[in-house]
Order: sequence, then structure tokens, then C-alpha cells
Amino acid sequence: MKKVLEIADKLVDEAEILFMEDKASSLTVEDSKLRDIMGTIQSGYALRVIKDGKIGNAYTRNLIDREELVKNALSSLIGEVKADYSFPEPAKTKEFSQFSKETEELTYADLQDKCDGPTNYFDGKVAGQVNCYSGMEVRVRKIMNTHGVDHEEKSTTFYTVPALVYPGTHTFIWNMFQTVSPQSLTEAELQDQLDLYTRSLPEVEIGSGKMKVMLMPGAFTYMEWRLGAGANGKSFYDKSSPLVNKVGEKIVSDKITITNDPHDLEWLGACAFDDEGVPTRKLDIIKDGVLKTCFVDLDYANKLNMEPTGTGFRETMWGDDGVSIPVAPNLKHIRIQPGKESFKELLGMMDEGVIAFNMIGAHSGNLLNGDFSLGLNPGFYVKNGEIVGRVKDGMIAGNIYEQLSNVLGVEDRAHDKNGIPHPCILFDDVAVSAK
Amino acid sequence: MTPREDHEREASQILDSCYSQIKDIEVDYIDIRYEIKKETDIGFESADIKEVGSNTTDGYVVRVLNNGGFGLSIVTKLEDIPWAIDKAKEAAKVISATDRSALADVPVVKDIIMLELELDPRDVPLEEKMHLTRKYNDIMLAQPEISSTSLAYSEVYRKKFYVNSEGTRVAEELMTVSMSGQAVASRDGVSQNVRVSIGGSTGMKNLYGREDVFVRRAEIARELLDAEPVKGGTYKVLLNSSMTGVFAHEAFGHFSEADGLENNKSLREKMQMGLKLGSDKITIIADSTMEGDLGYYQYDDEGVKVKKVTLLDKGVLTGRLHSRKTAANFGEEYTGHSVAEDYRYSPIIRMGTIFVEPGDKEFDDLVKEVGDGLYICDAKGGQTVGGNFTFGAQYGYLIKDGKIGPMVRDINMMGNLFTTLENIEAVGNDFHLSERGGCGKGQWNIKSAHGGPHMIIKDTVVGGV
Repeated sequence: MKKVLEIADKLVDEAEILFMEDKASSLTVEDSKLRDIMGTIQSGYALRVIKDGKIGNAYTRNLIDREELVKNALSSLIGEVKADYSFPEPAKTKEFSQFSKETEELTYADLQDKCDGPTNYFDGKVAGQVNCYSGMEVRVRKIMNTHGVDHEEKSTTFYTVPALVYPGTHTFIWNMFQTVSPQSLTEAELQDQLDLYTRSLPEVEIGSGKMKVMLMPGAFTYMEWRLGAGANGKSFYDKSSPLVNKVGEKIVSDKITITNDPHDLEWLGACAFDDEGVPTRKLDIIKDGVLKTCFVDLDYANKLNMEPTGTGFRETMWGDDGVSIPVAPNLKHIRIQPGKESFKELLGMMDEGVIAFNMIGAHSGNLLNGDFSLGLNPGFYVKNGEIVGRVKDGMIAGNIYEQLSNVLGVEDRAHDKNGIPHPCILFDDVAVSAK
Repeated sequence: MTPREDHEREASQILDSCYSQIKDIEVDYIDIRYEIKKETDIGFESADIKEVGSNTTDGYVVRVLNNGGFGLSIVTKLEDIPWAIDKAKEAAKVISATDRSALADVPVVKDIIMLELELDPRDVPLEEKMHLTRKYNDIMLAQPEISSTSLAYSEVYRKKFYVNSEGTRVAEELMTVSMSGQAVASRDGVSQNVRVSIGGSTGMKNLYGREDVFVRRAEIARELLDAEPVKGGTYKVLLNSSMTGVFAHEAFGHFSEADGLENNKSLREKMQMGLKLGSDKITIIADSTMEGDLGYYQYDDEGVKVKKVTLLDKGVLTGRLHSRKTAANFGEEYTGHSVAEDYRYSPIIRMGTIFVEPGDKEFDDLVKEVGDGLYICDAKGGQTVGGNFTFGAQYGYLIKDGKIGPMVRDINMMGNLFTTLENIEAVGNDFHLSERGGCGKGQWNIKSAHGGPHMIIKDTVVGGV
């Protein structure tokens, strides 16, 4: 990497190089039998150069020819993409570790053992079938620039995801268990999942209308994506977001506080610097219902005359491969602050309503406006504070800012949803459509 | 040496090199796929150009079948191939203790496919591509009430080299280009957006002379500012060809991919060949053999020649899409649909081009037949999980007394495969296929083309806002 910077430094004003490597193993159990095992090692380098206020990009998987990587970045300067900003100067970043040697050394047989636990526990207890997914990942991320920035992080992830499939469908409920070091699941956690599955087995037809809706952690994706579009510096800059000019205003219920916290070590994915080498920090997006800020990368920080927020990443809402996706503002460490009610208390507040466990179609609709119209898959029907079945062909629809203004309660703890913690939230007056 | 001879010589050398990696490995079966991918991207966000670049990457996928265990590894460095082979063998050993797989017999093939395009993007300078993208972006930006735009030129050129221990050696080139983005119209703090995409696998041919497309998309975005949100409920809906295509892909197509059924006993029972699943009006075909179409290819990523498959014939299940592994598991014919996004992924079963076969109804007759309902247009993403699907429309119109009425917005429909197939009432005589793909079944498939005619479905749940 240093050699690439040395080559580039002679030809441009500034240069930055990012390296990533992912080493991963994954294992799939379907219908209680081991079906697939896969191992991967993928790495890559992304180079950015700035010359005469213009930026050029290049990336490669194999750094065999350093000159060619620099040449590709120089060639892309033909686009005259403006860069009225500089790459960051060296700065002290927070030091922490989310790395486990034990995870790094897991074998396929170890992963199989981790799946056997839940698979054996559920054996003979479910009407449908039991699937389980387990795996590990070791990720290395390193960034250097010609100003002297030199950061490196190495992290591990271990996961086990037991899934209970409803008979005759692909629809299932799951529990996400992700940790830095390998963990085994407790019987209590597995029993909770089994209870939810058993109560939601009957398929029920419900009518359309406005009713109370509770979101469980797996259902929050649509909200993350819409907030990620609405509070994005890009949509503030081009004035296409409904949140423009609302910083400092109350936009949702005062029960809602949403932060972006890359330093929260309780959950996975903590990082001390973003993909531009900017130190990360905790950022309040909405505090007690009041919009505090948008989030930016270096480009939009400059365009909006803001301080960088450490949220420039090479990642889209569909994920990342570390190098080929251009840097853009990204809210990847979102946290909704837990509230005061237990799950049981929230359930007790529902005379009639729907619990959304997971929803499909989060990517369609007007994300920028916050509008949504989503299929429940599955959603549970609640009558008098009890789950009585699984909703047949049900949808919920609305606008996230209106929905977040109608909050009845926020759960007092958060649950893991693919590395992002979420408490359950109960909303009033949500439009439900069903046959 | 002619360009073709030069191409064949280079491809042969790479195939030889791949074979040398696996020829001494003592397992029942092994294959290796090497791929070089060149991507050219140009991106505009409103008046600003945000991205220009052309980059080449490569990598390897190794698969091993031994004693019935099937394992695979993926690496991006040549020096990691021994690790990949060892890990694939280890995976096969662990799996063989509990699961036994086999591969369907297929012909051993030796073939080198050279791409020949009329307007080959490799011969078009980057400046020309930038100029064209800027021109279309400017057209959208210049329309009334358009507050922002995004438009991206994407060119993906793949050179795939596949070798297996049975003797198959295939090299194939694929080129996919697109120009896609959106126009955002804003008024009084409310924004509405409409997507635009043109492209295909015939090089630059489909990208020139398309100014009218960009003008119309910007007009629709503006018209949406005056449209009311659709009211949630159950409707009789008329789908345009884009929506019909997404229906074929999302609601039915994913269910015809055998890897989704392979290990799900109860679902497999519901999808047995010969079962009547839908109305007599509906016939669905997967056909990636149509040269010039976006979903066209010759060999899949197991070196198997792709076949046309009639999946549903007048409502009766008649076909399924297979890899070699699932074809053996189901005891059905191989079809050549095991496809990977690129070198970063192992192949999984993908549709390529899927469409509803046209019927005999004129558009005006379909509108009359709806009576009261919705005409919904242009897909805005879809998703399917199990028997349930949802997909959005970019805009639509109310239909009242057999006539098209005012525009409505925020339309998403949801349904269950089995009930919806029975609810298809009529199929139009028109036909249109998508120019740009993008299916995200764990990995992206930019060659997932779909389409068909207009089509009526009764009793459809639509979620409004």
C-alpha cells in the first residue's frame, strides 16, 4: 500500500488507499440436515487520487501491478469529478477490539457443532422444518493516505441463526445470535423462539383498517433505509428530502431517540474510522423526537459546510464488497434507544393489532419521502393481548415520520437484527390491508 | 492471426492453466471457474458528475464432490487456490457424513464463445459514453419541477473460463450495458421519483436515440405530484408488461428454481410436476436462448448448455430450473440455469429471461373487462419469500366503469403464489421484455430479464399509504 502511495504521490496532489480482506466460512442446515459448506478469502484495494480539485478512483483484487492501479485512477480523472475537499489529516482514533482468535480458528466441524445445539433442541417439536445457519468472518480493513493517515482494524464475527419454517412455505421465524467470540445458545432463548412459532402457527384472515402495529427487530429494515435516505447529506444538498430545513424541529414522538454509534461495543461492527479515514463518533440523528443533523461523507460535508461525521462508507443498502462501491454517506451503526416497557407490557397494550416479525418489499416505494407499503412475512395477529395466529396476505402501509409520531411504547431492551440492535416498538393507527 | 484465432489461443491458455490446478486432485469430481470482470461506470447526480472509472478484477471458484459430499471455496488470489481446494475437500468430507449429492449426467463440452457485437462498447471511447450519459441526464433535469436526477452508465464485461474433471472446457464472454437512474420531482416539500432504465446485452445499440424515454419518465415524476395515494384494499388489477414480468419472476419464477425447493419437503410436495396450479390463461416460459435478449447466454457456470423451459403450461406445472445437483436430486432433465453473479460467488439457480406468453386480448378490451379496479404500471422492485410475494409499481391509474381514470401513487401489491395463479382472468396480446435486470437472490443478477403482455388478476391485496 505504501508503494502505491509513493507512486501516486509523484503524480497527484493527494492519494488514499483502502485495503480490505474477508475470510469467512458458512454452513447451512436445512430440514435438520447439513447441506452446504462454503469457505472464502476475498480481498481488494481501492485507490482515490485528487489532482487540481478533481478526484479519480480505481480498485483491484490483486495488487500485482501497482503502476496499473495508479494509472486507472489517473484515467478516471477524465471525468473531472469535482473534489473541493482534502483527504483527512492524521488524527487519534478510539482504540478498541472486536477480535477473537477462537473465532478465527473455528473449523467446519466446530460450526456444525454450533448448529447441532438448536437443531437437536427443536427436533420433533415443530410442525414445519428446522433450518440453521452458522458461520464466522474475519475482516481486516486498513486505510492510508499521503497526509500520513494509517489506520487498521481486524474484527471477527461468529453467528448462529436457527430458523423455524412454517409448513408448506418458505416463511420462517428466526433468532439472530451474533457475537465476537463463539457462543452457544441458551435453552431459554430457544424456548422463546419455539413459543412464538407455536402461537403463530394457525393462519388467520383479518380485515383491513387502521390498527396498532408492533415492529419486531427483523421488521425494521424499511425504516433504516428510509431514514438513511431522508437524513442523508446527499438529499439535504439537493433538497429532495422532506427533512431539509427541519434540523432543530420536532419531527417525531419524543419517545424516539435515534443515534449512529460506531463505538458501541455491545454490538458488532464497531469501527474507529470510516472508509475515508475519518475518525468515527457517536452522532445523534433524532433526539427526543427532534431532528439533530444529517450525516455526510467528506464530499457532502464540504458541500453543506459541515464537519465530517465519520459516516463515509463503501457500502449500499444491499451490502458491500469493500472496494468496488464508491464512498457515500451511510448510516450503518444506527441505534434506536430502548424505552420503558417490557415486551409483555407492549403486547398487553394491544386490544387488536398486528406484530410485524419480518416484512418484504422494503426496497420498493418512495424511500426519500419515508413512504412504505410492505408485505407481512410473517405478521402475527393479536387479540386482547395474545398472539392468536399468523396473518394471511397482510400488508402495512404509511409514512415512517407519521408512524414515528404515533408511538405508544418502546421496549426496554434491544435485540440483534443482523448486527444492528432494535427494541420492539408499538405504533398506533397504522393502515393494515388484508383479504 | 485473426482476432478470433487470437481470442481462442488466449482462452485455451487460460483453460489449460485452470486445468493444471485441478488435474492431480484425487476426488470424485472437481471443477474450477476463473473469471475476469471489467466494469466501466459513469455516474451523475443532478448536474454533478460523481463517478467515472474502468476497473478489472478477477477470482476463482472451486467445487469438489467426494463420497457424496459437495463443498466449495472462493478466492481472489491465484496463490490461494491450494487453500481453496483443501477447504472444499474438507467441506465435502464433513457434509458426506450426513448428506449425499450427485450430479446429473451432461454432455462433455469443449467450446470457446467469442462475443461479436454491432456497436461494441469496448470500441467506444469513455468520453463518448460520458457525453451520452450527460445528455440523457440533462434532458431529465431540464423538465419542469424536476428537482434532482441520478443517472449511471454501467458496462459489465465478463470473460468466464470453466474446466471440470470430466473434461468439459468452456470459455464464454458476456457484455451487459445499462443506463439507469431516476428523476425526482418536488413541490412544496413533497418529492416523487420515477425510475428509468435502458440497456441490454447487444452492446451500445439500445442506448442511442432514446431521448423520448427520458422525457417521458420525467413527465411521469411530475404527474405523480398531483396523484393521490392509492387506497389500501382488494382490487381487480390490470398489470402492464413490466408488472407482468415482475409477477412472472417474483411470484412464480423463484418457485421454479429447484434449489429453493430441494430441502423443503412440504413445499416440494406442493410443486409436483403435472399439478394444476393456476388458471388456463397463464403460460410461463424461461428462455435464455433468445440471442439479442438481455438474459441470453450459451453456457451456465457448470459448463451446461442452457435450454428453453416451459415452466407452466395453461396453468399446469411442466418444468423447473436446475443445476446439475438439483436435476439429479429431482430426477429431472438438466436445464443449464446454474449461474453466478461473478467470480465472488458460487453458482446458484437463476432464471435468466422469464416471461408470460401473450394471449389474445386487446388492451381496450382488458380495461373494459376490469370494470372497476386499478391499472398498475412499471415495476419498482419486488420480493418473494416462500409462497408470498410483494412488488411495487411506480404509478398507476384508477379504472372506473371500464375507463382509465386519474393517476394514483404508492402502490404495492401482495399475494400468495398459489391463490394468485388461480386468479388470473385475462392475458393481453402485446409483449415486451425488460432491458435491464437486477435480481438479488443472495447475489445480484444483472441479466435477469422478464416481461410479457398486459394481464388481469382479480382479488389482489394492494397496500396504500
